Amino acid sequence: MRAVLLFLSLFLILQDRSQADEPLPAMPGPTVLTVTGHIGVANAQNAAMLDLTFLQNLPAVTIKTSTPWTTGLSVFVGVRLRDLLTRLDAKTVKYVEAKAIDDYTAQIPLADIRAYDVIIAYRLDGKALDQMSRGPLWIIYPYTDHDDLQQEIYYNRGVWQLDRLIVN
Amino acid sequence: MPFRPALSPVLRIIKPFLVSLVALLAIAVAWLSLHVTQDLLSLRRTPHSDMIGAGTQLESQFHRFMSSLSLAQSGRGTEADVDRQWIGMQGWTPMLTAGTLYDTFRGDPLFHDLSMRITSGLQGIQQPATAAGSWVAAASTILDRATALAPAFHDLSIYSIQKANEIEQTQQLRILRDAHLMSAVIIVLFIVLGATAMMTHLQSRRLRLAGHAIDLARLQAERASRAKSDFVAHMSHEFRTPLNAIIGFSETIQAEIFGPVGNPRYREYCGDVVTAGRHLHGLIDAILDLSRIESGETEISPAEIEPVALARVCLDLVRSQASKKEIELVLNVAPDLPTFTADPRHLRQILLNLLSNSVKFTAQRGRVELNIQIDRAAPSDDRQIIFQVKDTGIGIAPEDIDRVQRPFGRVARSMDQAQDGTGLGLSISRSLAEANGAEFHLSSVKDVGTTATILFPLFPAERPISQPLEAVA
Repeated sequence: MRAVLLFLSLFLILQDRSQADEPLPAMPGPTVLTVTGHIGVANAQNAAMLDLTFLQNLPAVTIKTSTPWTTGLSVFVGVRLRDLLTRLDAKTVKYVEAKAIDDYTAQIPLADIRAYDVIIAYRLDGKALDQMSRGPLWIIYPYTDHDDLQQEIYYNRGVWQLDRLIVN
Repeated sequence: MPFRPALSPVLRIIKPFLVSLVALLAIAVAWLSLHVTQDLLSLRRTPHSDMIGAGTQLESQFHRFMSSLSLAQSGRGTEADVDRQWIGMQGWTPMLTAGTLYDTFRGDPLFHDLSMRITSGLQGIQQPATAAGSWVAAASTILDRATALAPAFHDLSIYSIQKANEIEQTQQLRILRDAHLMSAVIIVLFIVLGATAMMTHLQSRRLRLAGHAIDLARLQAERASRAKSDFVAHMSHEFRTPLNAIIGFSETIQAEIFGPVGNPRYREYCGDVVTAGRHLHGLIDAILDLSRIESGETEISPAEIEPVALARVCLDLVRSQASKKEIELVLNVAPDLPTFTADPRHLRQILLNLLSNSVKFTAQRGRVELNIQIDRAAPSDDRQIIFQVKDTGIGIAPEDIDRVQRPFGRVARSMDQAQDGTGLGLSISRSLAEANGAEFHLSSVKDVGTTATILFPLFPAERPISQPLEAVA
């Protein structure tokens, strides 16, 4: 499984090499995510300031999972962290630091990004996330699909009210 | 009668119970170990401790909000900092209405009360800011209300920690209980297995002792049998010496060697004594033979036998007896008979027994045949030489065939009086034939005649085919 995912990710990375140099489009909407660190494309001083439309235009992935913060199964829709890093031409990624509006910080290792469809969710149960519902962005792991992920360390990486990513 | 080991009655009753008990206990151990494993896994997986500890994080987030507001009030922070901390609050407050914390406390009145107080309290805190359009402008009112609300957050925090501990303790106690239960079951299992092993051991010892007893009994029986044979052989010998004197002196008296005996009646009685003595002598010889065969002391001295010569000798020995009754003696011999190996003394005894039996039990002018053949149909290395003594005598009824082949198994009491004989001839013949590796068959039709058949293997496997030649006659 891991091997397949790894292969898939390499394939995606190689496939997206063609558009790696492609500059970021104009971001008319308000910035919801600021990505800094080792990225290949940027639209500000060493930073990619992304609006919701840009994220929504990347391939959308749906994860159906239960979490410690919700009751029952919830449906999250978002963009794969892997896809976003590829689009931003992130090189030599070791880990990604995810920061929330209230400065809560978690480190997401490359192994997680490769092995699982870790997403930056922008939609929960059909409704857009907002600041009052732990939005506008929320990092979600496919907890229910993988028993291994039902652990404290992975729950701690499920950063809500995400607004910054630092690629290391 | 083979020895059949019987289970001791107690073990026989208990055994199925023990077996099912062991099976049950083994299943219990397996189930419990699965249970304990699951418990341990759940201990690792369940986010209880930290997620219920979310109450603590909610409290600390509230304090971060309060301190950001007081900093902003005193000019050391900004409105935006307060905004950020307020938004941060929004990440934690949903814990009161969904998720593990809420699920754990669902239906708990104190939690419900605290959660209601916090929700309405937070509305009361936000309301002046919304009205004033700024956190800093309404700071003093908000801080007053926040300070009043803080104990609710603290209570929630303490309560959730307590609950987390409680849950963890329960979980640990359950694991401990399961582990203890498992240990108990394992101990019982070992006790039961030990008991079973012990019982099996006792049982096997019992069987071994029984086996010893059987061996002993067999040994004793063998000894007794041997002693009997020895006794018979010894006694027979002791009988013969005085008997020879009786016969010898009676013959002397009968022959009137030293002068007449006077009254002819005495001579007649002497003749009776001689006849009876000879009969007794024959009987003793037969008993001696039989006891030797039975005790396994018959020595077999195999030699190469020329069958026709042997047959002639035997026929000559019964000829005078036969001619008295005008019985026709016939010898039928197949052409090209080979020589074969057996004990010549035994074969002669067998044939003589059979021939004299036949002559004895055949009426005047009857016929007694001795046929010697080879079963040419059989494969060359499995051939037999067949001696057959056939008479036209009184025959034996089918129900008596088996009995006459046993020692003293004569057909009827009356016959003893009519016919002279020991009643041992057939059984001796059979035993001798079998001792020489031959088969002995007896068939008869009442009032028509009797046929005795002996089949000697031409190539006895145990003995070499060529033996030192012995003159037969």
